[in-house]
Amino acid sequence: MMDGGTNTMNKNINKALFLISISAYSISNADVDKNIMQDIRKQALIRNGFNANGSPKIVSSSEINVDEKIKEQWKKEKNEIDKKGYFSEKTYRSTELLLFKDNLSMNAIVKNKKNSSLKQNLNEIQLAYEAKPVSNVQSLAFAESGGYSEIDPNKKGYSGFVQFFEYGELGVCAYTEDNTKISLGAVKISEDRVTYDVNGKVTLINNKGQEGYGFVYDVEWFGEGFFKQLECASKSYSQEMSEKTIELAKMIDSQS
Amino acid sequence: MKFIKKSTIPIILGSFLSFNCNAGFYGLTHHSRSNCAGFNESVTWWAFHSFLARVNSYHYPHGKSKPNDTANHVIKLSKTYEFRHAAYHVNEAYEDDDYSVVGEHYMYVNGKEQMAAITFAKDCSIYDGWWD
Repeated sequence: MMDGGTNTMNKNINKALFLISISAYSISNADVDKNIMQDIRKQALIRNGFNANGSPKIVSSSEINVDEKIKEQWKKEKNEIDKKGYFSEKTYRSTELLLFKDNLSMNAIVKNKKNSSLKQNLNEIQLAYEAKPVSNVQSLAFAESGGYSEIDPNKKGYSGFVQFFEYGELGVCAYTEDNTKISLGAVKISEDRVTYDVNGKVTLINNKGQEGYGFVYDVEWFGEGFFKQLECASKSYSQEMSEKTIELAKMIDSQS
Repeated sequence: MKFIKKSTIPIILGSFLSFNCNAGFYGLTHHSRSNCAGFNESVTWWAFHSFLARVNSYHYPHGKSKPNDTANHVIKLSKTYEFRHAAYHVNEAYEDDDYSVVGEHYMYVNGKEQMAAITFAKDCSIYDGWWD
């Protein structure tokens, strides 16, 4: 039978051990979460054949993990783009951009309203990195885009944004940027779609539309640390406007 | 004009919902959330813009939510063509639970296979404004 002194000592030891185990558990939980996330990403990169550092990888279409039906569709789109500059699609995006200013005037931007999905300034978007808006354009609104990152508790936020703006003859455009160091993204691109139109960077031209539905001039470009996209809408298609969109993409790329 | 008539309903609906939605409305977004009114999930979505994509959502219980070492599991979606891709588990975790959720988000558009994001969450603090 233990005396009172030994009993008290044992209680204190148990209390100390309990406190040590709690603090150790708390530290290891955060490490475990970070390690789990990094491990999942590493396995995903290897399993799906992406570049280990997340940079864009140009591959043959056989290395893209989609059905043959999808690959045939992509081939058809590429042939149409080569022939007439765009592929036929009844795209909602053209309408969305062509009517963007009308939509804006209805109610979309509300100053100081936390839950508004459109903001007037980029610094009102919660981003996990320091971003710069496109300059030398008539900016209309901003919205979040990309992955929401919480792994750095001091810098929680989105990995990218969309900027809506007007630019001369091109009318209303949307520029989308994604910081892949935050989103932890990676990409494989079919080699028969690739060009290097935007300042020598890996580029995709995805112009699409149909008469009566509108057209979207769509340019994507990639590099280490980012994915970027420029979309400009028009009621009709012209090669001249497609080239102007590429020139604007080059200008935006040079600003970063 | 055809394209204005066809767009009227989504534009009107969009204007109404824009008061209440934070993400996935004017741009493509990817999230995870955990211990959130029963849900652990990972979501990729962009309202009214359908696209080919899939999501994997990994769920890791800690502390009192961790009954045993085999409790970690993953919800995997097939590739589908729609505007919202949600890999979720209902009735799994609530405010007092302690799950971490990791999401893998994949897209297949314009000749690309893209791992668009890896997301992570320990709560549903960014739930405010989501549209389910």
